[in-house]
Amino acid sequence: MKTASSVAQIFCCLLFVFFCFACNKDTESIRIGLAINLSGLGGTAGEHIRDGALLAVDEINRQGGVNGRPLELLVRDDENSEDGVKKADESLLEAGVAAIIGHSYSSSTVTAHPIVTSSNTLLITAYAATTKLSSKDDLFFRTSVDCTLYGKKTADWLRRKQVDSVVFLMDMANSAFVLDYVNKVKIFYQGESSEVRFHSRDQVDWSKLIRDLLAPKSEAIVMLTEASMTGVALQKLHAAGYEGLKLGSIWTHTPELMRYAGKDAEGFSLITFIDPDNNRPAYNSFSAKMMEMFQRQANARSARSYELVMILADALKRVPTINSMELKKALLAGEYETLMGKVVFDRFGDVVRPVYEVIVREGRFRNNGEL
Amino acid sequence: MSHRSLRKQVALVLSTVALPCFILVIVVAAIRNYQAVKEDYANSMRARIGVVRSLIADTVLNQESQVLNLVDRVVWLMPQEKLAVIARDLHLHRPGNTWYVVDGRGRVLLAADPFSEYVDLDFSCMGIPGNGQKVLHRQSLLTKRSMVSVQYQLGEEMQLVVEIDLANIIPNMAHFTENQLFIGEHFFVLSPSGKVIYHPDRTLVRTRANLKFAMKNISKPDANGLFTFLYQEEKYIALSEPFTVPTGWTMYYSLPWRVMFDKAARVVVGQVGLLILLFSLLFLLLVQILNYFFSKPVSRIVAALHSSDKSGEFEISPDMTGGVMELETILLAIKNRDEAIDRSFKQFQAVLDSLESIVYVADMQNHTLLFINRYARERVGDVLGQKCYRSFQTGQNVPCSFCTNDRLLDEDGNPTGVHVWEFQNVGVEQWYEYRDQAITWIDGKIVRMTIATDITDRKNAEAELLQEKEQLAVTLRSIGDAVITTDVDAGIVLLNKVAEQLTGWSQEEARGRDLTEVFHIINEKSRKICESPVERVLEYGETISLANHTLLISRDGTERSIADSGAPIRDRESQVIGVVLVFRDVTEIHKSEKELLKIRKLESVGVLAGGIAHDFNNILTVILGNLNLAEYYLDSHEKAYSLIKNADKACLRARDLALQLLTFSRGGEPVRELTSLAKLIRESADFVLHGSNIVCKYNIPEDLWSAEVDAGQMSQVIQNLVINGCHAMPNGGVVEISCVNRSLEEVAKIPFRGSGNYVEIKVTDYGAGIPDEIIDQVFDPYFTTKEEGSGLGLAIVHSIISKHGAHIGVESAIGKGTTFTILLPASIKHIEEEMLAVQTASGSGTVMVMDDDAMILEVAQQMLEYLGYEVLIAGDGVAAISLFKERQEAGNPVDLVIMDLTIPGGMGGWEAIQELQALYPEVKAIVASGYSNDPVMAEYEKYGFVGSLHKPFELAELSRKVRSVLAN
Repeated sequence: MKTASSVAQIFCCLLFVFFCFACNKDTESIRIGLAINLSGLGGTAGEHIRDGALLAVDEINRQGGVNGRPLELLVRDDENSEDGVKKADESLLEAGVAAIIGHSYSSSTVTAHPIVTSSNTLLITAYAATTKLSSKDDLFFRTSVDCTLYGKKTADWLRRKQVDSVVFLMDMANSAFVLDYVNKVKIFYQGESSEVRFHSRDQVDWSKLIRDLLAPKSEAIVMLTEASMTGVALQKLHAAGYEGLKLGSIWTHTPELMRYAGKDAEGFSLITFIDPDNNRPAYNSFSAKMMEMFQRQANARSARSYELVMILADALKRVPTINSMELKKALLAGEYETLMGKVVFDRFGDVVRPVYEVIVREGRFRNNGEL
Repeated sequence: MSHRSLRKQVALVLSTVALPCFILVIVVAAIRNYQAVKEDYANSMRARIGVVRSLIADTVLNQESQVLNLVDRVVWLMPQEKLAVIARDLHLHRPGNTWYVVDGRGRVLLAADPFSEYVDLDFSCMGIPGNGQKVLHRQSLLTKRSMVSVQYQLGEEMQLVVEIDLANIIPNMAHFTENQLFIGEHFFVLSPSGKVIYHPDRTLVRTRANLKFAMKNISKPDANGLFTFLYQEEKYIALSEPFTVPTGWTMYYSLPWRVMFDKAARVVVGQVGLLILLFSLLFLLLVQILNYFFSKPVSRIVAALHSSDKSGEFEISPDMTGGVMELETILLAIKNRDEAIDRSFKQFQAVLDSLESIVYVADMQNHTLLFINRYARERVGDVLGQKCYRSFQTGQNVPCSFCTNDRLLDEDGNPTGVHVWEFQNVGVEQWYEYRDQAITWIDGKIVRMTIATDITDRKNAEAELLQEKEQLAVTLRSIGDAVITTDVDAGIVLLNKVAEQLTGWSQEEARGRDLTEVFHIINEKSRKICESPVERVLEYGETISLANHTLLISRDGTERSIADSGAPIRDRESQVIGVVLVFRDVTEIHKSEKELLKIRKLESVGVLAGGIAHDFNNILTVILGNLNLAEYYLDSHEKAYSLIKNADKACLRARDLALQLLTFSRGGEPVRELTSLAKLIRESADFVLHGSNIVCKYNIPEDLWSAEVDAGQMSQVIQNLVINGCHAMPNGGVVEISCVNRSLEEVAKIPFRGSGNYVEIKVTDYGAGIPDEIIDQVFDPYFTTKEEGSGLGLAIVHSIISKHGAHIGVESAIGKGTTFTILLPASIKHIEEEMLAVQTASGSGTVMVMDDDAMILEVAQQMLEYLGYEVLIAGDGVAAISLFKERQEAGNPVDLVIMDLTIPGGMGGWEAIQELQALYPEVKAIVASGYSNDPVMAEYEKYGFVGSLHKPFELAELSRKVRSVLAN
């Protein structure tokens, strides 16, 4: 009797241990990586991306995670450099992430693509527009439109503005984007165009830059630069007395533009697929949480990362096993109604979304209509 | 419950007590130690955090010490001079640090190399300039590095903005980073938005990581200010302190929670170990002491007890107790108690063995006998250890179906008390009373104890008693009298059926009530409540009868006369335990007695009347006889003749009156003679109506048939009916008497059992009439509606009519009157009319008259001699017989003897005729008597006479009778 009791007790203990172990296995977190520029030029914009992603992950975990498993976001700084990109992605791959969200520039993404996808890991981004990654049946997905659409819409805008000559200010630190962008514009724009290239990683000679921009006497300057560069350029152009049209890209669609451009940002336009006047309840809720958690307004950067993490988490919920192929299938099968509208991936993992002209008015981005 | 040795028990108890105490102490010590460790940590951390905070603040604010000096120098200069001095003298030493000067609108006036390109740019949107020494944390526009910008006022609305690369803080913290007080400790500074300003991890600094967001499950600070948080799934304990300058920054000092916990655990473990050691030593010491002074002596005592169990002797030795006085006392007490128990056991055994009942104890689960007494052993043998059902029941191999084990315990297994029941062993026809009880046996187990006593005799006695009771009950029910029994307090115990009926109380209702409430008696005459018979019985202690004239008033108020008696009920010691009352309803008896009394009174009156009538008749005989003779000797024209005639009639009336008196008193058999009803009716009615205000109307036909009736009685009938009619018409009126001859056919229609022809006589009055409800009672004796009168008149009428084989009926209508209708059987004989003066014929022969009255003898002699007979007289039967003999022997026989029926004190006529007939069968005798209703007179032939003479008799009647007899 006593022996039986002891055996029963031991058995129960073992069972308990096994159960705990089993439970533990079931509650092991699902890791996803976020590789973006945080410390390089424009790193402040990366903070927004990180904030948006962190908020999405936090929300997902509060709601029970992905099929009961918590989602863990591993953040890596790609330093806006090739080495940084490699180091960041390798670190994430080593950590066994299910997918990598990255990077925050087209050039970085192009650099990361072979590293990540060759490791049979899904690479997904909301911030790369280069067509080098378009229309490929691979493990690359993006929620942002590519330069083809941007080129077309920019050409449309120029035509509408009756711009006959345009000069492109191109920051070659993101050459994959800027070169692609200009090429695509030129496909659809028949006017005169010239290019002024510089590298933001180097010390910028603004005087020369401005001189070069003004030399063609173009009717419009298209700035393919990030926010701080755009802001300084706007101030410089204003100081130089330039009164022509100024157009920017989605790359400069961050609050930092106002910080750096000051009042010279007034009237500045940019081509983007992010509607600054988004009044969707989901977006308003996201915006309120951003303020609560990070004491910051929601913006184009944080909204995209939030949207992307939500899409990825949804796909993770629908896969029988977590691997890149299943994720890919899940993403391709999904139709998403996000805080920024509908997202449907084509078979290559690319999207087509509405593109707007956004104008800075009274220190705020305003939607000036879909292009 | 398993038993352990004392040593083990002591050890167990000590362990049981010590362990919780030990655990409690450990827990308390652990908590206290942990708190102490935490406090120590908190104090250490607080000391360090303060230092680090100051260091960082100093590093941030005063990293470039020359800045302050320069600012002090230039603040007094002109703006251009300021700029010149700054441009010349301001060289920041740390890599990544840079500076620029802005005007009051944020426009860059001067910038360090290589950032001169930013001159004239508007930095106002970047929060520059700020008020006072504002510190901003962000990525630098100029250097692209994470920095904090510190603004210094230069005067003239100019500000010097120095950007400090946050990476430069890290070397300053190298000392702290390398010389960790606690393994895994981290100092980090977060901005108001939670971003890393300083952290040993450069990446976090460089990327301005939002560490606050990453810190999960942040607990509230405890008393020491320590709080915990989760970071990357690891738990940390931390202390935080705000910066005063720069404002909004927070210094954190964290270390892995496990570090402090391990430290605390080591402390606690150390203390616990020490405590364990201490407790163990104490425990062992205590155990040893207890063993030496307690367990071992007790073991020795136990051994001695075991030994005594076998040997029966319990010896105490000095070394047994180890010198402990208390143990020695206990031993002595054990020994004394042992002896006392042994005595007690023997007493108990003796008691049990002396019982004449089976006493046994059995296990309730397996029914094994654990104890049996001597009586049981003698009955069933030594069955100890065997099953009770096999031992005490024949042929029972399984537990008895009537086993009471289930009733001896309640749901909780507690004894329910003694269960008493009776059982008859049909095999031996013996009754047993079982007293089963669950008891705690010597081993502490609950067992069944049974005491079975043979109660066969008692059962038989009970059966007999029951039978007696039943008989008594049946007897009581059958008794015609009422029976009530009470207790000594006059509380009713029992009422039988009759008592229930008489009192109106049922047994159930009356039981327990006071007797007077149920048996409510009063005096019939005074109507006062009678004394309680119970009290009288109890007072006298003997049987008493209650007073006469006691009325019992029943519950519904009915009054009944009762006769009762009461007697004490005694127990075997002759103590009075109650009273029994027996009573009966004597209401009817009283009524009957009253009636009987009335009848006896009437009989007495009758006897008196009879006696008077007899003597009166005798006297009348003399008077009437002499008057008759006188009539014959006188001429009818003489004056004295009519006087004598009237006197004669008066005698006859007197005779009739005497006859009525006799009839009334005796109701005797009618002496029937053929009588003229018309004459009788008229005379009777006239007689009674003489002097009244009632007129009688007769309607009697000439050819009315005669009837053989007793004239006197029939006259009485007519008189009573007429008197009844008179009473119905107190103010006068007419009574009609109608007579009709009725044939058999006419009578047959009337409900009347008779045959032959009848004379119908109707007597009708026109008075008040008789109500229907009482008309059937008018002929009942004593029934009367009048205040006066015996109520016998119509009863006598009915009796006389009935004795005549006749019928009487009554019809009446209220306010119209009453008609009595008599149907008398008519006679075929005709009445021979005889003239009194002419028909008195003479004759010859010798007639002897026997009577005790001399005057009657004399007048009879004269009357017979007048008629021509030779008369002999005798005073009684003896003389008559003697004289008759003499004359017969003399050859001069007597032809006829007239003998008085009754000779007081002598031989009467009947006895005499019997003797005479015995001697001389041909003797002819006529019986004479004043008792005309006597059966001898009515049926004289049966008694040997040839005729009868009613006194007083007239001469004509005497002549006729004699001549008739002598002629036959």
